[in-house]
Amino acid sequence: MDLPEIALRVFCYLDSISLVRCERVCRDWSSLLIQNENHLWCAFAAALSPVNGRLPHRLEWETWKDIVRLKHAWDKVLPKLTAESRRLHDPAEYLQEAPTIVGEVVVDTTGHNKDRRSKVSVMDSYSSSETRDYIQTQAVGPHIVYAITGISHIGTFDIRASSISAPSIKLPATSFQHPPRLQRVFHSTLIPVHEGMGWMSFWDPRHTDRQGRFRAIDDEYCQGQLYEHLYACFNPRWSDDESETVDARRIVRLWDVKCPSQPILSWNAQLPGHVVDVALNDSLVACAYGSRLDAEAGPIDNAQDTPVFGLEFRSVVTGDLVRSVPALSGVQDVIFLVMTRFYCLVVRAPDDGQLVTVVDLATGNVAHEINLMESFIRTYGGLHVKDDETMLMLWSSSNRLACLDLIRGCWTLHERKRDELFEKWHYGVWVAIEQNEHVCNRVKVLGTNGTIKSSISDKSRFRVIWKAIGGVPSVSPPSWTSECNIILNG
Amino acid sequence: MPVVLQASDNQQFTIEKAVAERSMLLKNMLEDVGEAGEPIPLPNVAGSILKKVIEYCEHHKEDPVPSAEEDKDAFESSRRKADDIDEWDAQFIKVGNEELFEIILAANYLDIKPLLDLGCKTVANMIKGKTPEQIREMFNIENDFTPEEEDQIRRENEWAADA
Repeated sequence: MDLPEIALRVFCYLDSISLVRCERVCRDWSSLLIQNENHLWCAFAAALSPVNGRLPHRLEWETWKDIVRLKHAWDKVLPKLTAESRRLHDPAEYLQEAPTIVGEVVVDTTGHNKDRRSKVSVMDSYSSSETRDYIQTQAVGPHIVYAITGISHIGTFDIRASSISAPSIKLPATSFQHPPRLQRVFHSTLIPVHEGMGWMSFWDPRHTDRQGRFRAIDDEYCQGQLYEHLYACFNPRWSDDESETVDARRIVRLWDVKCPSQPILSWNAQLPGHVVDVALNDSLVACAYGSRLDAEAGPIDNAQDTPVFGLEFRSVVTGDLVRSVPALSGVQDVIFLVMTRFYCLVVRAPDDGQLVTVVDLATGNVAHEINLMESFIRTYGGLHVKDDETMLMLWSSSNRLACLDLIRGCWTLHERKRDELFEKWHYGVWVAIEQNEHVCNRVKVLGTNGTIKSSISDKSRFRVIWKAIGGVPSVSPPSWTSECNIILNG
Repeated sequence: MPVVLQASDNQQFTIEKAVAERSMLLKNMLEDVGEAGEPIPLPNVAGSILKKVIEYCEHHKEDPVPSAEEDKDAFESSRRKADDIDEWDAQFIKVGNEELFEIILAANYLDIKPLLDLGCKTVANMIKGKTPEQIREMFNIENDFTPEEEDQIRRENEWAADA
């Protein structure tokens, strides 16, 4: 093993764990392994690729070893998360598990209807405005949550960042019926906005300018996800046009934001079905489709009308079907999809809680099924996955404090630098446990300028805790600061 | 026409040309200098090792000789499979560590790629499952890291916690 070329040839036959061990043998071996890191680790990374013959996407700062390490970490953590999710079904158990209690929060429910998803008062205070009646959020960059806020009946909206270092963007006035909506982002710094009637615009927060605008879907609604400059979308709602011969919900389109003259790819979901959600990464577009999933489809009369669910992956390059996931056949309750480089997370809401089915993209197999607590029901706002490190932040969606958890979850993230990932990575969930309903009629409100003012209203008090989960224990819980102007308990 | 090989300890071995040509070094030499009948000196290979190498070449003399490109491709595609060793080869390479390394060095010097791969696969299989300490012990390697360096490398590779 004295000759480097022979040692290197031996290393090529080793598995990843053995290579890591060899790095610790002596300086010569360590140096040789580091010098040839990408050559030696490339084959392992290739095995993780969802598309045969194509290497997985590698970010600028990553080596192939980083890619393998990241997947390896998830492979170890996911079973722990799965196990914990099955063990802890009662929120009270979180308290018994010696969590870190980070504070209390009171949610103002005055004047809001009883639909839990409409409880945006916390978010509204985050947006530092009491006059705006519309808010919708999406996370884009590390530490950054963007929110569209505005006044619906006037039709003025702007995009505000969670950090003062990122400037706000004033959206052009639109005459569309519905307020604009931010869309999901994975590995991109652009902010995708659905303006309405299928028109999408993409904003660069660094320069507060618009990078592209086009009509992505020839219909009223558009839902999708941006990956770098690729945008996959579909029409998420039934068309009102009864004369329509082709159900628009079967059409999936993939656009290049830089060249939007026509879609790169377009296809129809296989019958019988309509698209439930799409998500994409560097190599695949995941398309969940189902039949008769909604009340709109009417009651199920017989076996022939049994709902069908399917999940398939198509190449972002050719649109060809790469693989379907037969293990998910028969599942009827998909809410949305999340794609990372290695996994597709199928978020579902059966009657007894919320499930996350984790599909390994390299094999197409269902790798894990994470059972979220019963008290955590569907919250659309919980879908905020920006990179592979944070994909399980959707755990932080509580039905009672969805938006709050969402913001805090995002602020727990750390921008990754090399070798920093595992020291600063937090695994955990924010849990909001209601202490007493309507006990607090008089609270002090933390104003945007730091002043305290009194308010009388209908409040609910929650205890907010951070619970580290599995994997690498967090050194400390994510900070709970006043960056977010939450309404604090007086 | 037989070929005579002379090891570093002056032992001589007379072998068929087809056997000698398993070595790219010998094949090129025979093409360059012709079949002079003179012993070919191999100063880097001891007689005992040369005997083993010849045994290997005789067994594989009928195997097709891969081109350099084919060999590279085969290596690239199969380089992660250290356990695809056929039965005869596995028996052949069951030797002590010192002899194994001598065979690898001889295969490298004589440019016999299949034998070199066999040796490297065998070493890789020996490394698998071993801790760094066990690997050092097996190959008689001195740990020249400072405690701080060792700790740093260990932390960098903590993700493979069982490594």
